[in-house]
Amino acid sequence: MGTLDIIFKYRDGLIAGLLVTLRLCLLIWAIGIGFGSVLGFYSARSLFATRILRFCSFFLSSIPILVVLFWLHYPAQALLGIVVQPFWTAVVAIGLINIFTVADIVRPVLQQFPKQYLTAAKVYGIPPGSIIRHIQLPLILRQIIPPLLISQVTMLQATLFASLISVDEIFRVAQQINSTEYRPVQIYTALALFFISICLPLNGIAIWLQKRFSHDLSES
Amino acid sequence: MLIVKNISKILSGKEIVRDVSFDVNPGKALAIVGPNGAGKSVLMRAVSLTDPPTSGEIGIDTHSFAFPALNNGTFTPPWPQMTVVFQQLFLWPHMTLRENALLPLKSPSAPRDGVERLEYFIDLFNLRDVVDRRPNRTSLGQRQMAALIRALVLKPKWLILDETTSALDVEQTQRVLCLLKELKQEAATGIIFITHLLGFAAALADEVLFLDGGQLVERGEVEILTDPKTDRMKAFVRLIESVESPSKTNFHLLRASKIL
Repeated sequence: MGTLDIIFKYRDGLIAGLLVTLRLCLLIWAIGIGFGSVLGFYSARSLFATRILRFCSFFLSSIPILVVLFWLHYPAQALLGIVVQPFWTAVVAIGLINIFTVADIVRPVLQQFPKQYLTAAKVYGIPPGSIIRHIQLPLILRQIIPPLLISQVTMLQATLFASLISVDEIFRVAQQINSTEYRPVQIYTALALFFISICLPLNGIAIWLQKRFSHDLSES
Repeated sequence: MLIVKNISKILSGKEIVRDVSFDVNPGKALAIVGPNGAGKSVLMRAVSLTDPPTSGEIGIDTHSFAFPALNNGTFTPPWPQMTVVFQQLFLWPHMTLRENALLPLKSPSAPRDGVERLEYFIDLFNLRDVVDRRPNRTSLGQRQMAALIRALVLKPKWLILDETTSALDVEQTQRVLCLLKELKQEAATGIIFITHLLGFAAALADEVLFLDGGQLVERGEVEILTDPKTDRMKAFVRLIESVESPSKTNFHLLRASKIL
């Protein structure tokens, strides 16, 4: 039985797992980009907030995602006396990491924005709304989008860890199929194809944008 | 009238500009000359209020600004009535040269014929082939002209230029000179400019100010460029002349000045 045969035979299960992965991923992306941008924006405005954010990011980056996930799934829930579905535990754990990742991308870009471009705009009498729309946002987005795309691909890959707390995402479905069929090469190749089809174009776009925009940002 | 009274600028605890005063009438041009590190650009930024002085007073037509500023340091500079062409240009890198010049026309005080003026300047400076390129795809000279156009489309009453012709060839410099003379005479634009080209200063300026070590050393009509009164300015002018027209004698002069 080849890879395509396995995909066809277990298509319902794979599609269900795929949908769980995509749902999980979209929620993590939305939480991370939404709250992370706000956190990055505010932390760029004060030295104190910058220090707090840097400490939190530093602290969080030294703990593996799996440990955060397990800690929130078992001890945290036992301590608080609550039971949260594994799916939502995964959303909170990976979402939290994504918030700090995005904030760490946004903050330095805002802090290092060349103020002289804004001074020039003010000298030429450009209204504040136009300055934001035509100068600040395009320049900031050009710097933020490429690393943001790369980080979000990493977050997609991190959703695999959710299988370890029994979230029925695509990796767990693949493991279940493998335990029945025992065809690891074909099954994990199918899984790899899924991730390649999403991650490769996103990484490609990120690299292309990075190249293009880094040229755009140099005046000379 | 633009009046600068006793302005000083302290940066990182060091007084870069010390107690400088001058005035410029509409339709007149003031050249600021001096060696590198004399504080010319700092003075320009202070006068243009882009980096206000630490102390002193600046009067621009009906506006008056005293420093240190009251009201928590907030004030409203008369931009774009007074416009600056920065030495580093600060063209917005994600826009083409044309877009750079068009954006200031969103200013509520922009002239109605701004687009026509832009097209006129593009032809005048022979930029038609490169005007739709981004700054990083053009030469420094082309960027300097684009930055000048960006300021000129606004028909400013006061124009502050910081070494705007430093990368231009003789032909382009001549074009800029003619245009600035025309603006001075016909639109009564007041111009303050920094230059290392004494010929350019002599051709455009009505008055010259020699700055050294952050202090005003000599001020007078353009004749002081050929007949300076102070020893410091004499040495400066002699040195520039020797570089602009190198000869055997000048070579000895440079060696004597420990440059070679």
